[in-house]
Amino acid sequence: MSPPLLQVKGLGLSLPDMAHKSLFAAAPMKRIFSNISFELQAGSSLGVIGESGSGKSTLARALTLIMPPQEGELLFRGESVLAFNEQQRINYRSQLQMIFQDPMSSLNPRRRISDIIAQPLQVLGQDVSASDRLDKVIQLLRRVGLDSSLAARYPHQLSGGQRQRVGIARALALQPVALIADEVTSGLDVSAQARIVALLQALRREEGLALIFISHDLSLVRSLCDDVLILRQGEVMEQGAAAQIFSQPRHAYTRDLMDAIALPEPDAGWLERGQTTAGA
Amino acid sequence: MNNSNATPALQIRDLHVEIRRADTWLPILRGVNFSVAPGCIHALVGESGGGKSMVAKAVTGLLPQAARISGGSICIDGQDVTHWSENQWRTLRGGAVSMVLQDPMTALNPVRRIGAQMADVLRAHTAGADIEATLVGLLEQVQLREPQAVLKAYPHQLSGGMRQRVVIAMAWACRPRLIICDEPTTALDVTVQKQVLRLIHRLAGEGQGVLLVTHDLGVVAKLCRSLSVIHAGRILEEGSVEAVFAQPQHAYTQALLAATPRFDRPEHTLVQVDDGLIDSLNAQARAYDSERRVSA
Repeated sequence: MSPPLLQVKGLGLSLPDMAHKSLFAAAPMKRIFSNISFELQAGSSLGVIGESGSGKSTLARALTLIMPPQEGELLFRGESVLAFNEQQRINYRSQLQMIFQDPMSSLNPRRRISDIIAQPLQVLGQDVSASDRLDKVIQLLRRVGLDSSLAARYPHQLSGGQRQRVGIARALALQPVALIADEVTSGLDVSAQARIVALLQALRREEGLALIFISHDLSLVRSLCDDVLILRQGEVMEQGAAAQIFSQPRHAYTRDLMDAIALPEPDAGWLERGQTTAGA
Repeated sequence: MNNSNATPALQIRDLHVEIRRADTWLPILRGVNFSVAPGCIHALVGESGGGKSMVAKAVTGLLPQAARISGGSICIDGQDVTHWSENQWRTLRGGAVSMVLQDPMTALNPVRRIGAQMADVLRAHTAGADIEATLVGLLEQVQLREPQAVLKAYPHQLSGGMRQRVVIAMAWACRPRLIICDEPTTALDVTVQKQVLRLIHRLAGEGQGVLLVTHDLGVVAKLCRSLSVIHAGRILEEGSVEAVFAQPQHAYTQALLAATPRFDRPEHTLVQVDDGLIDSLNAQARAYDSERRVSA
């Protein structure tokens, strides 16, 4: 059997804690997350759930080497990513593409949509002629359900949902094997959110892309992901098959998160139920 | 505490708001009607661009310079405030009507201590009294531990949930008749969201009218008594939360519910809001505009 697409063993990362830095001494190190392990098979999906400060976004940065992890192992198709040379790292990064939370800040406001989507092709791809590049851009726009006429526009001329689909088109430009989506729907209306979720599902189904879906929204993770990892303050509270965890949560924190879901159904008793810890 | 016979905390009748773009006035609100009874939490639900924040701005006298009220009326606690001047609004805002906004970091001044900012509200609207003791009481009411320490803190030293509790305490400080909560929990973690919703529910029990502006139907279902659904500046549907969630009448309300993720139904695929529906709603709004222009 071939090794899994991505294998993470005991991953950990610490960063200087600027809040507690004294004037002359170096800032003390603060652990952002530690001892994270999981496997991602080709075409499968993993949901990473966590609240603010859980380390979930930093985990995404560590996996894409934007912030290289300091502890543990990261294997891509069985090979150690941290031992890769520069060319191998570039190849690895193009295989594992990231979609960011806020498309307004992840898309350059001064460049046209066509340039934004073509940029990975220019920087990392097999560079081709300008006309081939435009063909490719239009093909990518169609793939994410956008009209090819948007290619000449600027990000501010698009709606939030359209911008997020441009972010996905850019991530798809290098034909990756996996996408990491970090809170990609949290700034969107429900109708735009439904479109993004449907697009991600279609990409998994039709192109066999693996997905790491980082979110605070348990409902979305449940409908998109095979496996789940629940993070709290940099530590894994619980992990396993989504169906198993959501039907029989073992950890109290998982139950707290589930209790806090506001289903769109009137229920007068809901507010009074569950944990009542004050002062958070 | 259903005072349906009492004077509404907020009554909006046939409200029209326009915004100036170049030489023309574009309609933003097209005859909005609803009211909020004392002690009730009423939701104004819609997607971005639907006009819900414009309603919140109109009822707090904070419409942008380029906007004007071109018809209808707004009454707060029986008082017609439709054409009030900024000076008149100043006597009301923070006193009889107050706001809780989405992002507590922008609602608070980053370079002043919490206690000083809260004291401003009390000094502007209430006479003398022991301000320090009142502030501690307010913070205790929003369940903040160690209120003395919170009063001395700067906003960045508090967590997002604590900051939102401070903003809520400020909004309730002068026992207003009406409180506008504009996406009060959107920026908060889910577990903190539930605590803040619980807090708003408890405070509303004191008899204030609360207008909750939100896109989150889950929050509406759990917190509110009644709701109005807004799109393109028109109220498409209104009713009690029980009735609307059990049997939504308007296609747009049905579409919003179908697009909302359901944790309890993982196999439920999110149904995308139909472009044709949105197009027809926009066409209806334009037809309304031209009809109104003809009759004017």
